[in-house]
Amino acid sequence: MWPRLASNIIGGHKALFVILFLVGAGIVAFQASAYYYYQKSSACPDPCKGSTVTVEILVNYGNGTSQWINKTDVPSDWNFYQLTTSISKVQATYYGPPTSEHLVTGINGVQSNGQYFWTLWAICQKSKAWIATNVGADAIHFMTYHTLAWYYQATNSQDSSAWNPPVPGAPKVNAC
Amino acid sequence: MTTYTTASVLDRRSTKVMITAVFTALALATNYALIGIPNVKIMDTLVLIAAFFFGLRLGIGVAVSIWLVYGFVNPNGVDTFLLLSFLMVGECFYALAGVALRRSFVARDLVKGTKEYQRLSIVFGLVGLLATFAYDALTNFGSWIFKTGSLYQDFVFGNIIGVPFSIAHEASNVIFFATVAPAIIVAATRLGLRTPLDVA
Repeated sequence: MWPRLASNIIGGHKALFVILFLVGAGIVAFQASAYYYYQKSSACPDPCKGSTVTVEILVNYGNGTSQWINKTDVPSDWNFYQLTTSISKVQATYYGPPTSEHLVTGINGVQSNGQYFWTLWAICQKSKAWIATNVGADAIHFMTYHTLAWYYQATNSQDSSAWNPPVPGAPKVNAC
Repeated sequence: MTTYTTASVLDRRSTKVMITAVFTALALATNYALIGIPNVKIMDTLVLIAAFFFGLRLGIGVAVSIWLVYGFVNPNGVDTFLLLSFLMVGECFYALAGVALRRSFVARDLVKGTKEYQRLSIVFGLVGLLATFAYDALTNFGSWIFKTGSLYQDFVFGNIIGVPFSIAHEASNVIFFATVAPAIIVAATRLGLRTPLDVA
């Protein structure tokens, strides 16, 4: 039954269907390997499990009020979203698989409003400068970054190079 | 009997502007309605349908018009001009896919009144996957361009970090292209809409 159905569907266009299926299979394989690599690279590496790390967090509310929090006992397999929820009251929208990430919309009652958003920053170890991270808080582990910040600011552009760093006048880089 | 001449209504500039505006409005309305679901949009299917029935120029017109509005009036933030240019070029891939399908056996089968809907769905789904992959590869690259110091690294980083969004985009587009697009095209053909190639 199946070969007959397939033959009916394909009709006289065997070569076209073969090419389309092969290219389609190639795309699926490419995306599956990219997703596997993404999951692997955003997961906590093995040596970090079972230990604790020290992480410094800055919360800049954008109205002149800033708060530095020094946490010395952060489980090293946590991500930055988990840490943020443990130190503050967070409002977030969760997006399920395949992204599986939270969009943080409010911290301690300060909500995204119009062009004002919570932007996410980290200190790049190499250049000792702030960088707006290219991934969400769920994908940030503490093997790469030890000083992170949430900065509430007006961002009318998706281009993070136009954003201000969380500490006024501090150096900023676009790539780490 | 309907006759199709070069001076027909569909060839008038005003009609083309109107069709472009209608497709753009439809795409924008559905985009804003689906704003809470990242990368799941009917817009790409609409661009393909526009190009399938009305040709490449109109399809590109729809693709560019949509992004001229959606790139600047977007609750998720405004795109930079550089990223916007990548998005517009990427969206034109769907117009190219629509024209390619129009020139293929798919359009001929439709005119003959085919009942092989599975074939239509499979071809549209696979072409949709191809066009969406090309779009994602290009726009993921565009969102990372000049950020790592090497164009190759920009491409690799962009496509690895963007992969969860690409998967959502490609999976949803395969479904839309395999179901919505053939349904609209079959219905429009039954109602008498013909592509210029059909009547040539």
